[in-house]
Amino acid sequence: MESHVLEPAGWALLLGSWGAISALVLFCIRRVLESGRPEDDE
Amino acid sequence: MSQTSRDRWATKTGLVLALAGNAIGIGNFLRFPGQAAANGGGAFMIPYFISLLVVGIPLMWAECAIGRYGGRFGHGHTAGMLHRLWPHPASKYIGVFGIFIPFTVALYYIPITSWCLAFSWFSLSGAYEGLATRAEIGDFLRAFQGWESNQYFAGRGPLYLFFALTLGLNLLVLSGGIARGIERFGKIALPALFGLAIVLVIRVLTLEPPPGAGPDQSVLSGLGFVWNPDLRLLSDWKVWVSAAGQVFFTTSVGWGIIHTYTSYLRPDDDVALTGLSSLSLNEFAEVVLGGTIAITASVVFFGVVATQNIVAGGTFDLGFQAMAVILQQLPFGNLLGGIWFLLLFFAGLTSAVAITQPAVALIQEGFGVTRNRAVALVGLAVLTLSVPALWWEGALAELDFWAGTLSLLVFGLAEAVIFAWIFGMERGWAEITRGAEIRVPGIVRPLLKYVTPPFLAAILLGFSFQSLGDELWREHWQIWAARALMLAIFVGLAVMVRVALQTRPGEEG
Repeated sequence: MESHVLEPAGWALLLGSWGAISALVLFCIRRVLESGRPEDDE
Repeated sequence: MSQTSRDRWATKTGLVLALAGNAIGIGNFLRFPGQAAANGGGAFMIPYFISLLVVGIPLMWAECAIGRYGGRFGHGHTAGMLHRLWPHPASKYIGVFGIFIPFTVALYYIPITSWCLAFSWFSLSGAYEGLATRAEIGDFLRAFQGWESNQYFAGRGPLYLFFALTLGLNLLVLSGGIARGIERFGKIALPALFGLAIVLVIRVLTLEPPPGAGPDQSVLSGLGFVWNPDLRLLSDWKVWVSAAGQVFFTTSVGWGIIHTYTSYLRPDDDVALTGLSSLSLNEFAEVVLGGTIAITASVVFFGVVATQNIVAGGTFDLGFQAMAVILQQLPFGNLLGGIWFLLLFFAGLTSAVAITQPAVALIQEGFGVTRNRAVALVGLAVLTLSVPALWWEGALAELDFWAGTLSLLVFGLAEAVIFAWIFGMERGWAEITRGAEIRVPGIVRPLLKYVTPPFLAAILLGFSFQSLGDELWREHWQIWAARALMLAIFVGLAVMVRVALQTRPGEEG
């Protein structure tokens, strides 16, 4: 039977995807928290 | 006409969470891992991310900009918004799709969400404890849904009870309005959803194979099943269509909801950071959390071959049957099952609230009705019109195909063309970047004009080619009744839009 254990290429895609998305989330959270409330513009 | 008395978001965090709650649905935890595993594993992520960059993010920004632009004129629904972008009689009827799609999907999505709540309760109370096979859980589910009567359920009483509870919660949130209802709810539901999902990810990643398990029944095999790339499949156009379709469905573009939510922004509020933030949370829920839980657990307990069969059987098999069997075999299994189905319930309810809001906005703003009355009217309509999804076998899938899938692609393509080519990218770009709290890359401008529309057209053609032939000719009366219902809903909404916009100054034509 074909092996399905996570291979190096799979690891690379998994960690690359998780890393890129997590970095984007952290960037956005930081910027949103810095930006404050919409009505502050008034 | 500028309206200053409209409801508004109180905080940017609240809007981001509400938009993310809209996008994060049951599909993030069930549809995505199945699609990835069936379409080349890790290789699927290459067309997936390309689609996200060239379609998902640009269209998300365009929809946010359209919504905020329409909100300046007091429009909370896409019919009014598109008519402002393109003052032509056809535009408001194209915009009807942005009310028709979410409302019609609500007719089956709210019942499905209620099943998640019911199964959370059934797991916690031990109602299906001891049912050790997917077939037994399947019998339990079918009896609960009322498709058959057996030792588990003799009638539809529990089905209606959980449906009423879910619809009631939905209407309660909506009746609170934007800031005090939807925003407050999102601030509780989204952190709860992520917390529940993280608990399950940790539990799944620490699973031990059951006694007598084969060599392929391990966490690493489960992750390998989803992530090991089969790069040969990158030359298969169906993989690209599937990846683009998944991005389209998960980001919730083409629904009319992002427009409605962002219409409650002020004209100079940011949309760029808001849109990107909600999209990033959705991707985290889908790729990091959703890609890890169900498939990995299934491979550990059933093995790769059985998981392939489960995935081929669809998301209900995976989410309701396989997961119910797996989780009750673990220590504190009833609690873990309760958490799993509660996670799906929160994912469903945040989306259910979002998909009922455009119809509320149309009634409230178009006919001068109070919010509570508009919510009550929409609730009554959902209660009566969701009967087919609950009673007519096959109707649910039919509504999902035409309203929840094909119409999205049609509307997404139409709005992309109207925004980029008729409203014009010069004005469109000004709308996207006004008040932006991040720098929007200049490449988005040509992408929206020259890449997004043909890309969407290709997905639409590919999807139609794959599915339309099989779907079109069906014999069961329930299928044709469901189609007649959808047509009646669309025509009814179009008439309402016509009347609503006729009574507003500046909406002639």
